[in-house]
Amino acid sequence: MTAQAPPQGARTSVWDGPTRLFHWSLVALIAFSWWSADARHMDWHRYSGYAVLGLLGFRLLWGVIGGSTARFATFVRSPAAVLGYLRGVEPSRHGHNPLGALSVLAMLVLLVAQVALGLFAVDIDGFESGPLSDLVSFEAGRWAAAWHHRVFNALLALIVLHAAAIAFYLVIRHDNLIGPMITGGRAARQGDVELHPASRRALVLACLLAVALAWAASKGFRISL
Amino acid sequence: MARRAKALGWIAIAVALGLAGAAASAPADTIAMRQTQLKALGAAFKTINDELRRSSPDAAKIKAGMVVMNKAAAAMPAWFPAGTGPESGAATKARPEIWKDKAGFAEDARAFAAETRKLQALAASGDFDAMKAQAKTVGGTCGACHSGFRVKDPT
Repeated sequence: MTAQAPPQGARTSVWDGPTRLFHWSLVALIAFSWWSADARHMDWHRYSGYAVLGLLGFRLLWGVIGGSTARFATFVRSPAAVLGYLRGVEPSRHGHNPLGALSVLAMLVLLVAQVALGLFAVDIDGFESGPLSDLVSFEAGRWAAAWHHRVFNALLALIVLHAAAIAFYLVIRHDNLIGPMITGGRAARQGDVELHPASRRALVLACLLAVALAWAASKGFRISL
Repeated sequence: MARRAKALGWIAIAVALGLAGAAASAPADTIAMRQTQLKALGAAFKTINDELRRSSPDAAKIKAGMVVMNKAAAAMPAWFPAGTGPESGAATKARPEIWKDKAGFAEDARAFAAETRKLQALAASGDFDAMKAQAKTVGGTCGACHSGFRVKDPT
């Protein structure tokens, strides 16, 4: 990865296309999952969960082989850097800031837990259930369902925090973070490091993983070839 | 003599308290019993649905589950005697509507029992597709009663 500073005033890329598509697909699917569970459209809720699982697989792999700003190695910083950023010593850089990185990690952990719990969840009637629920007892499935609900509330809290942080940057810091997540870029600033995009092969690989995961989940991970 | 009378008095008080305690714990016992039964019912229906979703369902497991379900369906109205609702003070998700709308509750229980019997008849036939469709109908009768007469679970 070459650390090349873009000329000031020019446009600079912050997020690659796949990362943005991942972000907004996740927004749509979380909203759809919420609605479909509430409206008891459990077939659709399951499909939505399989898609979220695929997206998570994509993002975790993209965190290793994706565009530079999406990589864990780039954006996950030491506790000292987080504290430095909070004290204003550590500058805000291109991509996730050190504090925002923690929020990204927390959200990914909760989402993985949420999907895993959903795979085993069983409803009160013993009728609607996740694709792996036949491996566990009714009681265990009910436990998974109860935690599926609690983790969702925790996820909602994180999403509110995420939106509040974006509003803070927009209003107090006059830094629009929403634009770059839509268009991918913003005006270049001092200290920006040019985004190093991923290879096409990396994109194909991550997409294949996403599709394979979602498909396998829809088969309850019992695939006879 | 007076001492003896005093002792007897204490015994009488203790017995009366014990009886009162027993009477007070009766609704809680009934609630605990029906919760156990309903969980067994849910487990039996889950087993049946698990089998019906497999590529080659185990007919014996489905039949065994149906026996549990039918017994439960027949006994269910008796699991809700008067005084075992939330007013008993014991923790229960049974709503007071069960006793306010007795006819509605009886109708939901009857519908559940009728659909369960149909599923049992199908279980003997070996037609898994028909069983699947009927299991969905049975699930609907569970849900209908739960939505009207059970405190809504978030899950």
